[in-house]
Amino acid sequence: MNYKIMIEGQEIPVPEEIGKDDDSVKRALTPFYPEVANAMITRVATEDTTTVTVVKRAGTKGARNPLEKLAACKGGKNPAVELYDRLENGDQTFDPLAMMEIEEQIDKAIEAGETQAAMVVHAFKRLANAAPQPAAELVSGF
Amino acid sequence: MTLTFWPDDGDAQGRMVVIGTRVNQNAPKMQMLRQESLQLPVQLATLLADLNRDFGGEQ
Repeated sequence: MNYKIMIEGQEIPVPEEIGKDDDSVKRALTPFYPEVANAMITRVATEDTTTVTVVKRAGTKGARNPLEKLAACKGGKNPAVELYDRLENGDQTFDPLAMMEIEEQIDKAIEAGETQAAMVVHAFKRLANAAPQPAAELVSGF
Repeated sequence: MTLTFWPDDGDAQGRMVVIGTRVNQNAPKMQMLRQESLQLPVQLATLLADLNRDFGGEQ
């Protein structure tokens, strides 16, 4: 059986060891076409030749799908800001007695808000000071 | 020209090695052989030996 790879309109005859499976095709092509790591591969076999068509797809760099992970995180405002917005923009008016009644709620919101703000600052510092680390897998294209 | 050493598959003749050549963006040409059959010029062989040492003698 002969094997040929079609990629970007180019035809590349390859030995059977390369053409026999998709992983081998990607491994062999990666030095020349780094984007093939995410490519879609289809095969059409005739009597004596298998044509392997490689269609490159845009892939992510670095960690896998970090944006999806971030998007899946629970959202929300800082509790102090959220309470401020509610008090400031709500239709409700507060006389001194009503303010005293929600004082405990305000204190808790401020405390939770400060804790959350400190966590954000801490996360920024950790990101800024993080040492580079080797990738867990080969990142092709660099 | 590139040499790509594939992961060790336990073959007595060593890893599979892809020799690829390409001029600019033209279609590359590729051949495969086992590492034992690979006859490198002394400069490349030295570089490969250095590389192995850098990685703790890992083949």
